[in-house]
Amino acid sequence: MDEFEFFIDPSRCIGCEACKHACMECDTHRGRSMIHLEFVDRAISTQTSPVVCMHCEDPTCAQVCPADAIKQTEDGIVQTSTKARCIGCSNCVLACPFGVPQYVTDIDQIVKCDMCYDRTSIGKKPMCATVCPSQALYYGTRDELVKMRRETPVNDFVFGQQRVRTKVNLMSAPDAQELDFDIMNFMPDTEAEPDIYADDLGVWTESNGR
Amino acid sequence: MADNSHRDPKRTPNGDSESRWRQDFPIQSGEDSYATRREFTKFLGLTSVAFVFGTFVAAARKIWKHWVGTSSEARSVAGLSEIDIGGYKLFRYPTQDDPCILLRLGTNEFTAFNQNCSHLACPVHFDSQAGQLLCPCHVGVFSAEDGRALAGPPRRRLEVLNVEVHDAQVWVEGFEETST
Repeated sequence: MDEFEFFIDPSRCIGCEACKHACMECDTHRGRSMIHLEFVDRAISTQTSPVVCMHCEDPTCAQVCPADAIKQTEDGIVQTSTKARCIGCSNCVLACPFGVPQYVTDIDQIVKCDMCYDRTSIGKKPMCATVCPSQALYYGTRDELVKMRRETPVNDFVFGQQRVRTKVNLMSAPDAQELDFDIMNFMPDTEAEPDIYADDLGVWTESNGR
Repeated sequence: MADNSHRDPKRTPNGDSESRWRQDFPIQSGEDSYATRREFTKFLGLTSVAFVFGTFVAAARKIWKHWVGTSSEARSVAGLSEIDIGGYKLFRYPTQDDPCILLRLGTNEFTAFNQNCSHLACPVHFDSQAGQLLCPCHVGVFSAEDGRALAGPPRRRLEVLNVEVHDAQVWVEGFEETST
């Protein structure tokens, strides 16, 4: 197991944005970051999570692209959109289950992480993983990682009806085999408190009884 | 773990990944460059076939026009006093689609040509000072006396009409047989 792999542990992220700035500083990215940080729940926590591409085996972004702009190379890396093809429709932005692609207005094109393909394809580490001070982003062999961490790398996700296997691993609970996400888990708990947003919008909910 | 038995692991947002259209728009970059190459080769092949076919169509039209469409009956196109020396008159012969130009070079000296430049069929204009016909599109120059190409891109001479003067009228009758 000498193959280098990418491992993400969002719980180790300290929100320093070093990865984002390293990404911007890479020559081939022309001062534009292809990754971003996401706040987990900004209202109650400062916890952030780095968003780099998970490189799905069957990439949803490429499946939904109407302009044929996102391609996957033989080694399983999902490339960013092709300038000549991308029409900036943002289908991939909406479709990606991990929220990876981002629409950039000034170039009218979507930008997504390609795991620093110019670097990793010649054996170098991605910019973000080389600078991450807390190793929330880690690029190395699996043997190396298992010695240092107690979490289990997971690369099998279930989003509603869709199962997604990825090249990049997410560090999860020691006994985790796959991660199951349901949209209902992220909905506001309407029984616990009145939904003030629903009230403003005039939407019927059980709590306001309209 | 939740029960995932109802979930199809092969399910993708666009359904069957082996469908016909997906072969033309593959996700793998290797297959994509193959599809691009195939489309380009197809384009090259079809375009060259179209060019070959077009050449034969153009040749057939020319031959058809030459053997069937051309009437060479004599026609009076201008009165003798109608054109000054060094002047010209435009007319159409033998059909309304064939613009021609009649030149008066001397007292009794007339020449007439099909006005289409032999290069790309722009209409030629008479330059009486130089005694030449000038095509403005690519600066092709023809002799006003016999329609020979003198300069510029045209290599072939203009089509020359047979001109006769009698009864104080200028008559044209058919095209001169071009000798190479």
